[in-house]
Amino acid sequence: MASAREQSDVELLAATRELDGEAFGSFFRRHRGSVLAYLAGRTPSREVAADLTAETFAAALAAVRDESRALPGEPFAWLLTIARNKLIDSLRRGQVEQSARDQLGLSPLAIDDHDLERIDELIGQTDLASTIAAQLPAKQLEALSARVIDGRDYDEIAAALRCSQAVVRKRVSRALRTLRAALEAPP
Amino acid sequence: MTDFLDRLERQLVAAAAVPLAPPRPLARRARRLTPHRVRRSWLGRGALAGFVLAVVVVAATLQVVSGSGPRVLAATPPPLVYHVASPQSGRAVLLHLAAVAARQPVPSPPARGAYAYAKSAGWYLNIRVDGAASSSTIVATVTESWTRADGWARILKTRASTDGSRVTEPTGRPVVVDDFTVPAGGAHPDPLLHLSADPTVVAHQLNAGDPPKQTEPVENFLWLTDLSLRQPVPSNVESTILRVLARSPGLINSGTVVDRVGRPGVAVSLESAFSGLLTRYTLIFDPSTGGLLGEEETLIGKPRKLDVRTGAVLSYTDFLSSRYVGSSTTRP
Repeated sequence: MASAREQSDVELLAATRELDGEAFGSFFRRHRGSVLAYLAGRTPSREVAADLTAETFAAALAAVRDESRALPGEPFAWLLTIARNKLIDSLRRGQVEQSARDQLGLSPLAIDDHDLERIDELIGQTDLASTIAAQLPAKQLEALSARVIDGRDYDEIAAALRCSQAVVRKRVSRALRTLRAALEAPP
Repeated sequence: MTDFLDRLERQLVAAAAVPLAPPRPLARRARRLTPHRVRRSWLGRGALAGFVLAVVVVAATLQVVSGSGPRVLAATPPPLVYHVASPQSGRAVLLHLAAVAARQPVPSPPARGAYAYAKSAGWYLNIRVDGAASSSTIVATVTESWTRADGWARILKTRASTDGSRVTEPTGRPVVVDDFTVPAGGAHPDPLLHLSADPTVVAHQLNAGDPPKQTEPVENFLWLTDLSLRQPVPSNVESTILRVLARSPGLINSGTVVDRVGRPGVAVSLESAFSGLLTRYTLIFDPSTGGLLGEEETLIGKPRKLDVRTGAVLSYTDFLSSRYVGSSTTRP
């Protein structure tokens, strides 16, 4: 059996559905820095970012545990989408909701100065752009790099990748959609 | 020494290892006070000032004897009085209001760079849960927001009394509870400033999100109130939204009412226990324009561990004004 370090996100979430709590712990450790970094750039304080992070992972866990729902095919992008929705909800209501944590029976956690230092440290260690790029499927990243970094035309990329322009456009579009969830509108 | 992230991880691991428990009996929309630095409200970074107000209000709470000891009930304001004289269904009332809204002149699109200004007065129970017990305080504020199309927003909250009037300092200036800005891209709810009058698009927006956010008809009610908290809702869009809301099962014609700032209105309600507590959600509309005037949430089920009685108002919001303005300091 593969160790948690070797397991993919999809495998970790599948194990979580089978009540493997440690699998979700691994998923949390793998992505907590990215979620914190994403939220910290869009919230007025580290405390709110931490609160939203807790609600994001709780919502993710609740969704994974809901057997009527399919597991996400791209868990990291899915997780960032949840984070973004939680962020939007909090802006609408002026308050971080706790509905997912309530659903799971999780109590609120206090945050002190030590916690904030640790959160700052973790955010500082997280290269969100690289992390996201690493999450993109290879073909999408290849198409995106050729288009955005190298500035090549779609027909040129399509010829190099031996596929149609429409396929290239779709790969770039999907990659951008994933990136946009995390990188749009930096503060 | 364990830190926040370690404790959160332990919580998640433990929760992931056991079957899901039924939802805890808490009102979803009721905000609660939490320990220092736990869940500080974005609109409540002046929480100390707000808490002083809450203490003053709680000083007027009613003590009753319940069970083995005294139980303090939160002094919630009296519910609004509704008069139901028409046999119309709630659906019919909403469709009528949609028709009224459709007859209103459609405002011009906002100028480029305009700010969506919205002002509301609200009161809600701030509920703190500590194990098996809960305690509630009352928080009343006037909220003003200025939101740009790029998602930048300024939100100003000032202290109010439970009748919605502003509490002022001896100098006559409002008591600012919070005044902060959200960076561009932050306050960007999907339809913000880009509302559609197409029922199909509106229905899609209502169900957008991953995980889907609107799983109960009452969530659609709250969607309209959330929109109205942040921006003007053009009459043609309001008409469309009302037609979409009219499809909700379980609509109740709650009759006519005079809201807390003295405006006559017609009311439509939905009852739902999606928060864990059976609650009546009532929207109040201006009968002459179809515009949303207010929202009231009333507990109609057993309060369980909440320190309120059945029939208590859990929250209300009066939508006072909304316009497009030229700057983040301009008021209509």
